[in-house]
Amino acid sequence: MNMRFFEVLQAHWPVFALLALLAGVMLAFSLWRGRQAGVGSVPGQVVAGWACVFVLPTLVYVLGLASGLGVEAAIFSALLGAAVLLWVFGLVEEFVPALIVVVAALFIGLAPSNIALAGFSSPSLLLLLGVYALSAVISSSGLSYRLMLRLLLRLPDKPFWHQLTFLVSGYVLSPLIPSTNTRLSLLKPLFEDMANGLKLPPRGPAITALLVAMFGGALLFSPMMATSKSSNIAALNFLPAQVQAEFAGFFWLVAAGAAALVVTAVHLLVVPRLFPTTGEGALPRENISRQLAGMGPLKPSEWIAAAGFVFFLVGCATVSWHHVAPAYLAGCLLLGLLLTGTLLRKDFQQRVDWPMIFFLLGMDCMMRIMTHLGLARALSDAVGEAYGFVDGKIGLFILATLLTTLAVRLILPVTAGMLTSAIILLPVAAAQGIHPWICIFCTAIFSDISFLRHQGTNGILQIQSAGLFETTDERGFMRYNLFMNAARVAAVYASIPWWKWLGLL
Amino acid sequence: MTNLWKNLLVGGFLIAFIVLLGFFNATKPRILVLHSAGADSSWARQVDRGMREALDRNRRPLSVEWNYLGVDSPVAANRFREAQAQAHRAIARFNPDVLIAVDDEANSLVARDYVGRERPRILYVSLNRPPSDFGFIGAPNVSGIAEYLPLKAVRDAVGAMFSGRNPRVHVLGVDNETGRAEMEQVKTFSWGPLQTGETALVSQAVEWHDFVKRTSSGDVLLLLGTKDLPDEYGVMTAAEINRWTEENAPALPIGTQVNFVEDGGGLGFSPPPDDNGEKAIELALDWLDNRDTPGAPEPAVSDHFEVAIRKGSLSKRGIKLSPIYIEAARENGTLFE
Repeated sequence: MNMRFFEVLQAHWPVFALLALLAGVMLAFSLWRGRQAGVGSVPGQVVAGWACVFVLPTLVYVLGLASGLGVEAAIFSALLGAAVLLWVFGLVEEFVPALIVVVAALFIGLAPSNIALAGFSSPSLLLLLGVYALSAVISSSGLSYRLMLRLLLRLPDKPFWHQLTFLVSGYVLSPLIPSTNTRLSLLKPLFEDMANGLKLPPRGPAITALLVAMFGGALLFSPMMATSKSSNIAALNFLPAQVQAEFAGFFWLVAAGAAALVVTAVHLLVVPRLFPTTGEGALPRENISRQLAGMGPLKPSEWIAAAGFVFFLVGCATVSWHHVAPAYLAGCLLLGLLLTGTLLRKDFQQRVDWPMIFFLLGMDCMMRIMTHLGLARALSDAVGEAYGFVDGKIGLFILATLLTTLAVRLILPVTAGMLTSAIILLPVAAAQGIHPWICIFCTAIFSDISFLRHQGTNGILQIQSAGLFETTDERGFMRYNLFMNAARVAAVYASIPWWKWLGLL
Repeated sequence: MTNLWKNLLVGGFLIAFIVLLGFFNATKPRILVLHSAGADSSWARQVDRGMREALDRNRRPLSVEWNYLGVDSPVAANRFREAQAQAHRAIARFNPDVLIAVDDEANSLVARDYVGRERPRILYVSLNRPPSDFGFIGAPNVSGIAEYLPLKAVRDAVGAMFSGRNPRVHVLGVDNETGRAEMEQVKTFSWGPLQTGETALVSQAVEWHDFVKRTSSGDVLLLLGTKDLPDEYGVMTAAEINRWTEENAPALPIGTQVNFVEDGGGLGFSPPPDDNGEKAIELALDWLDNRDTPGAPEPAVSDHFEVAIRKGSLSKRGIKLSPIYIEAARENGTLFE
């Protein structure tokens, strides 16, 4: 292997010479520009990141060739390496690396366009478009805010019910707003209004309890439905066609039901103990009523958003009657929003999360190119040996999934982390006779676990950047987060009898 | 035109669009294909290819879904319950008009549970055991194609290859539902003037190896379906077993499954998967269309076969085949150098 490595290295000296020349020119240019007045310096992390992007993928290529991979597989491995480095160092927007890989694969003919771009012709495109379009309309029309205000007015004026309003609102938004951060953005104004209205003391348990209720509502339900997390929609495409057909609708929620109950129960048990609230002021009902009155009667766009929401949920629940896949229901939803003028051309351009759609479908394309080149099989063989200890036992498989996902999440954000873990673990599940959906579900729920600050792409970073930790007890919040991390693991293990009963094990 | 009118028209169009399309979708015929093998099995892929060819010719809108049990290998023994449950869930969810159950496992584990019901209609394909074993005889909602292994073709070809001698025919297969049914066919077949040798159904790669090594040159080793088998390092895949058998068998191996020669074997006579798939869809479409031939199609028996040859392997063993076999394989696209 060593000899072969040096042979390959030697045979590719022009490539390294070119890279060295490029690096030299760039270094010289940056030094020259650096001396000029008014030019800011580039952060060290960025320089280190780009240096790695130049050097490591070429080494991956050489190592791939030296270890017996074909040229095509070695090149694709190098491209994948470059993509991972771009994500790890955050050098470009999240969706760009996947596109780089797809375009490069097409450019040098690693895969034909019907394979390299297959993600963009899959039904997931319609599902993502429909869900993101409705999500945009629900938030821009003010429907979600109005519903939360109404819920607050109807429920008893007690801390428990205030917190429950946030939890339930987050859960209700989850099926059609596939982003924790968007759900948090929708809930945040109400949180601030309530904290002010109730005159909750800063950094006290009451305001922190309200914050964790909002955070829990936005995050806890994200692995529980196919459409409640954008990476779930993308991961659905990784499953065999017959499993996709089964889990694209409500059956995902049914299978995740036990876990959903466990995390909700733990949340409800933990919050009053961590943040005991007494003597909270009364809800400013008059203010809320005034706000509602100011909003006037339901606008047509709110009616249409509500109808679209009900249409999609009922449609997903009755697939066994009409046999229309949820992706095509989402297509009808999109048509409805466009035809009624609720979503205008400008909104379609600006409010639909196109970068996220490109990122998710790009990941799907990458997976298909890997399979086309036989790399998925090679990865399966390679990881199959490493995960041999699982031996078909579900308990050990869950442990393996937990450790893998946590390791991947050390360097990658939630969406990329979950999808990368799924790519690594799906072949293991197949080899060990474990249902592939269980693998996807475990990566979905474990990717929401976070310990370190930089892992807070599950919503914690957004809370921090919004300044909400300045008025709440951050340490208390982090303690709650640790409890819920453990609750996620417990929820998955508690689901085993449920999965056995459903015939998934 | 007022805004109200415009909104009403758009709303009416939307509702009509969704309701009419939804209703049409809900009522159009549905076919669920249930394979015993996994989606990556060569046999299942070729059956599907035949089905898709027949579906390409069809112009009537229908929904077709595929479900793969993946339980035809001893390696998958722990997946039986899960696969069975998944198939039942798929039937409950999809509510098919016709369930096409391919091979014995799909019929035994799933399709037989629906005998005598109004829905779904059951169309068995490549059934090696007698349909009566599954309670299919006389059931109004069952029809299909039973399959006979091309044993007569094997006997004739062996007779021609070993002219003047009557070699012993040993038979080796995998211990699963299909394997047991195929072995039953082999045992009840009249092999004369050839002699019958040892027979075995195995569930471990080491048992397979031992049996193959016990055969002697000058004999014939008839291989029933090969599947992935557990071995000391994990799993030996069907392709590896086929290749190993061709390289190590003293006797002449003859495969009866479509992928034997493709994987490295020398000679194979197998039921034609494409043809089975094509016929299954044609029968299903006929059953769904009451205009010309109302009612269930007549159950049929298929004794068609295809020949696959690897010339290099046969010449290494000094075997000469009649040109008619070579040309049949060439025509079928299963002639390898």
